[in-house]
Amino acid sequence: MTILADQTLLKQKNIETAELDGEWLLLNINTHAITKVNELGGYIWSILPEYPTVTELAEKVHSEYGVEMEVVLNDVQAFVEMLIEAGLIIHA
Amino acid sequence: MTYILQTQVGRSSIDFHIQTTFLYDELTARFRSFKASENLEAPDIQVEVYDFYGKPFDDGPVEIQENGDEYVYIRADYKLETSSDYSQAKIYVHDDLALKHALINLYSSWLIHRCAGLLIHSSCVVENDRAWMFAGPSGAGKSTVADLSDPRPILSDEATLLLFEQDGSITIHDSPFRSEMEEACELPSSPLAGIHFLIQSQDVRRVGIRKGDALISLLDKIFYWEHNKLETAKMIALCKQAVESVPAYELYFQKNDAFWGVIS
Repeated sequence: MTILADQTLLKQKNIETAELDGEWLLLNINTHAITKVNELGGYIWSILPEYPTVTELAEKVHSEYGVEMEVVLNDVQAFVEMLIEAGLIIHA
Repeated sequence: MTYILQTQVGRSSIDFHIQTTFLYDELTARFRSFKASENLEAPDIQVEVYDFYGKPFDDGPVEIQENGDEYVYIRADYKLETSSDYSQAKIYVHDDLALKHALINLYSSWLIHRCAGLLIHSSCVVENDRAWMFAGPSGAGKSTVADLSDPRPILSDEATLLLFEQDGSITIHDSPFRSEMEEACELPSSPLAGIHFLIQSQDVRRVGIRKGDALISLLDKIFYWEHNKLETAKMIALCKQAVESVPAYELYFQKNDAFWGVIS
């Protein structure tokens, strides 16, 4: 699945999050699936409501972490696709 | 109703109104850690218990219905009707197993609703005034661990009663929900030192695990039947609070008491 860089993304309802020891667990109460992501993944998850497109997320991560924009864009795109596949976010 | 039994479990008071002598005997025998309540305030939980319901447990699931302001849990051997805050309930049972299961169901829901604690499928043993929990899937050795821990005090052999204190600490209380080791514990409670997830093995060792993995392992050990998303979210938050408070380990153990050598 390819997400257009400017498509608006929304968190799925009924997802509980738990941050423990620098890891984030995203628990889908509807499906009982648990997704474990690293600290950067947790950061992206936490800012998604404020930066709801791949482009905006990548720009924010680029400015916070100083990683090359092209690399960030590819990684954020892949991460968002994984979150959609896991049923954690949807297109608006 | 024929009998009344006023009891105390952990910090909560429970009043039973009981239909038959059989059920009264079961409650006073099985839940003998209950003490007569001394305060005159209304009990935290009021339960009416009726006999002659259904048929023996057939491995079938618990079905849950929401009827207006109450939940109804139905299994082949029992029916539990409870108010939505779990403080008023009627239980209809076939036998003693049904009675125990229905009460675990009700009390666990009540604890989670009030964010007061959890009932966890595990055993719990006291060593040097600190409680160690042993959890695992069926057959992992929870009750074996309790059995092998004699003469240490046993707070639970099936369903551990975990309560959160106001200062954020965790206390394990003597559990009335037992399977084999029916003797009430000589201690009413003990602070929780840590959680072990059991793995049967040829060697004996203990490995610390990350809190995220501990949370994942703990979630399916809670006595909880999903019926309401808010209550499920509370249950997850309570599990998170528990694993944040104490260390968790994988305990590889043989069926002898050598495992205490790697714990204390």
